[in-house]
Amino acid sequence: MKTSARFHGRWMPLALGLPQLVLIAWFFYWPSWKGLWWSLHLECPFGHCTRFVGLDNYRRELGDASLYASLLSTAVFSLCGVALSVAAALALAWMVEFHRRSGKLFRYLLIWPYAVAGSVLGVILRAAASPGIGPMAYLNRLWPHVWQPHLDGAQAMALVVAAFAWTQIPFDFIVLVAALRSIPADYLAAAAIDGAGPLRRLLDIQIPMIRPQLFFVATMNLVDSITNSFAIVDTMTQGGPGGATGILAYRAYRDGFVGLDLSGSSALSMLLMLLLLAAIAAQFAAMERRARQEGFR
Amino acid sequence: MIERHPVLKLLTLLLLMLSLVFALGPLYLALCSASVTSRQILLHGLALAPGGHLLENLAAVLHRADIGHMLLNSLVVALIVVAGKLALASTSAFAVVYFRSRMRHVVFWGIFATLLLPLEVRIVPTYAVASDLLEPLRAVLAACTGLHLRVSLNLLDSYAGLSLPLMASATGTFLFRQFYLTVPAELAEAARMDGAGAWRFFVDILLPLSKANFAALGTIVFLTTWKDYMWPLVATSRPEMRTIALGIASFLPTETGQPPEWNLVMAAALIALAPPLLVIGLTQRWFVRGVTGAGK
Repeated sequence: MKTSARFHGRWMPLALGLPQLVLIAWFFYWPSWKGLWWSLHLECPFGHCTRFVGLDNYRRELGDASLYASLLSTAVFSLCGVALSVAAALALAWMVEFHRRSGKLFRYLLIWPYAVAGSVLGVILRAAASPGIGPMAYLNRLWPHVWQPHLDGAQAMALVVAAFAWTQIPFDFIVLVAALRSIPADYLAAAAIDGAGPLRRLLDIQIPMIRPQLFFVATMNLVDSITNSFAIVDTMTQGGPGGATGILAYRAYRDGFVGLDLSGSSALSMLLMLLLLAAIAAQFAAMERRARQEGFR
Repeated sequence: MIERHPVLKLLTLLLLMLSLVFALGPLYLALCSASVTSRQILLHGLALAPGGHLLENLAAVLHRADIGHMLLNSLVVALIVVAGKLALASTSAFAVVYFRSRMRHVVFWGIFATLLLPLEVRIVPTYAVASDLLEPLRAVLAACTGLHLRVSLNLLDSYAGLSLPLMASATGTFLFRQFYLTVPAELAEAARMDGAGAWRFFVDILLPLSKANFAALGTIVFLTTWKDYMWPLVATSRPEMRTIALGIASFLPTETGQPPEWNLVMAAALIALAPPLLVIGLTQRWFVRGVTGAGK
């Protein structure tokens, strides 16, 4: 913004931002610092004896073989969840754009799942996916014991991934529909005159032009897959069967609140944060390289 | 679109209808199963067609559990967070965008660093802070003056404790910043030329322009707060302070005990998802505007 449109006043911005900053200092910086401090100390649960142990907590967590199983299920959950959400939302947005006139109703109804909390969906799916009473029971009647998400880790994972994608698709869908609409119609018309069919136009014009928004929704989904998946896992599988859906966020909660291992849980949270930052940074880097290669910007 | 593709058009229409089945299927299933008797579900599985016992089941759920309490808690917490976040976000974004002072960078980075570490990742220490709110004050006081006070304030199991940590995030400020940047700079120039100070410009010009933005952010914050599960889970221990998104999990049948009454579980789920669904259905325009505003 132009400097002539800016106001003077040295302390006024600070005064205006102060309520927000105080709140953030109290509920963000202080807990974050506390988490870091705990991860470097060994402490009795909510007690008063602590001692500095350096990186011992991290070593302990990293030396725990079950951490790697948890990391693997986190990776599977996040990657599958993000890929499924973005791909489905893109397909839906493209199809809705294809039906400009009748698409309105679909656009209205496809957003509804956004209103459903992860825990409510989890409760509904617990019944719907149950091998005894849900619609999947018909499968079991044809082939006995084919569908058992409470025993089969892969099926349980597929179930939580599908549930996660279900909650994410509406957001992605809204962003991608708006993105597709912002592409000038002339581009598509010109391509059509040159003989490019709908699919060719999607691959060569629409997807490259909405890449920033695709990147945005993928990043948001990735962050959500680590932070907002808790309700789904907690209501549907509790990390089971046999730890198959015990993603890191769930583990950090269990260690902290059920196991009362503050140091271990904090170290795990720090690792989780590093993982999150690395994933976002990698996505940014890939995006930048892509953009430079193709001469955008 | 541009050329005629009857086959493709039909195919995509069918696919859209199929995806609608997936998108609304769980809601439909809940509605149907909430309208039959428990016995029918145990005998024939979840109902795929609506039955005649919906009101009866809803009444049974409302009678048996403190679901009214949970609804009220959700509403109160969501409204507190909406009001707080709107007030904080609109003023702090104003500070970030409209000043020359170097202080605005302090505000900017101080706020936006919160995007790095979501509440769910720092849930354990945040719980500790909420259970002993004045600890930082005591620590500072002890470090500066050597005084050891014995005051403490526990925010767990209170509306303040449920809502304040949810407000400590940057998303609202970010959304308002994006909006302020699209407001023509000439407006502020003209206001300054006419002798209006920063506060006057904010109250008389910027706020009226931001009405739609308030509605958009308000809808999104209301929905995300209503849906939140993890923070109410750790911040409440008394059943009467639970929000509905959390309380719904307590309806799940436990392994032991009587045969599960899935019709009542589904009726509770319906009650939990009705208010946010109503919000989305009625305010879709604002909601979509808010989401796409965040994506720019």
